[in-house]
Amino acid sequence: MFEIFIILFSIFVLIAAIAAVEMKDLLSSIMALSVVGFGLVIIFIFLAAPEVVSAQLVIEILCFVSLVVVVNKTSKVDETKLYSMREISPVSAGLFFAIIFIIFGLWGIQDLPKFGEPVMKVSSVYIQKVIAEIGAKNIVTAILMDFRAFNTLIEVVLIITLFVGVATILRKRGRKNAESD
Amino acid sequence: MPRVIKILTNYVIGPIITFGVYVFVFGHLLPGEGFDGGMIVASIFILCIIVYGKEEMEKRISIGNAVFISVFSGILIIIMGFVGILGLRFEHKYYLDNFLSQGTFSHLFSGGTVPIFNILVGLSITFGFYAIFAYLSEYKTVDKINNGLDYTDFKK
Repeated sequence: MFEIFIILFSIFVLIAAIAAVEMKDLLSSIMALSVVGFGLVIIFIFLAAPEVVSAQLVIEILCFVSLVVVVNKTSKVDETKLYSMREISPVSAGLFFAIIFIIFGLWGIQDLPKFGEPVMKVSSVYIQKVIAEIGAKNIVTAILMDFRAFNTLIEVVLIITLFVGVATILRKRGRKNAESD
Repeated sequence: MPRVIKILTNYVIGPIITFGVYVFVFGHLLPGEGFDGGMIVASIFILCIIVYGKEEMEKRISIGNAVFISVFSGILIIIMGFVGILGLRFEHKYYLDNFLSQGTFSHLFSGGTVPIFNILVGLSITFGFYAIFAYLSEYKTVDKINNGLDYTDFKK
């Protein structure tokens, strides 16, 4: 019963994602996109992952607000034409690199243990070490901030890169020579 | 913005900032971590930008200070990673290793460097998203019909 519910919800989310890509009206496309996000929130609630739920919920709300603002200020109809040369070349390059990635991924996956064979091979080590060595009660945060702290560091660097990029594109003053033109 | 929304925002600011800071300070004991708490505090800052306008908000927190706090807490995480290489507590010497004592279990001061990383990540995410939205709200379209896409300043 539980798995059937999750599968039905995943199909619902997939349909909403396809609708978000195919719709011509941009506002309804954003609505479909937020259906994808909030559907994922409900799936995460049923999978008992409160950490992911809170992050997903807040990011989804912020994305919705800023996308609606952007669409209000610019255009409301999707006018891009598919299958021109400018669209085909990046898509084909993406497919090429995806195939290379899949080949190397399959090559690297052979050393992993068989699927579902030792059920808690990695997580049992984490559970033992968190209580014995680190002493944090919330195991998920202990993994994110200690065993995988490098991951978190890269997340922070990504946010910093994001606002440096936004500041570069939307800066008020250009260079001194370019301003006089 | 209508006056009703301003008054409602006044009531909401305090509890939500307290809740967000609570999420990332107690991240090692309760669900949620630095990223989630930082996003909650950032969302209330963004609400303030939308309701009161960017100029009112910049009197309280200027963009320069926000960028400084965000980058500085990122740099502090990198420096703490280099302290972890020294191997003060364990045999192994990793980058970003835990070098403080673990404290009493399920108390606020426990978990070694985990709560410190939580607070630093929370500050970085909060002021980073605030800076992004403040930069984005600096520009708006004026006279869309006449000039097409003409981006001009708020101040001019």
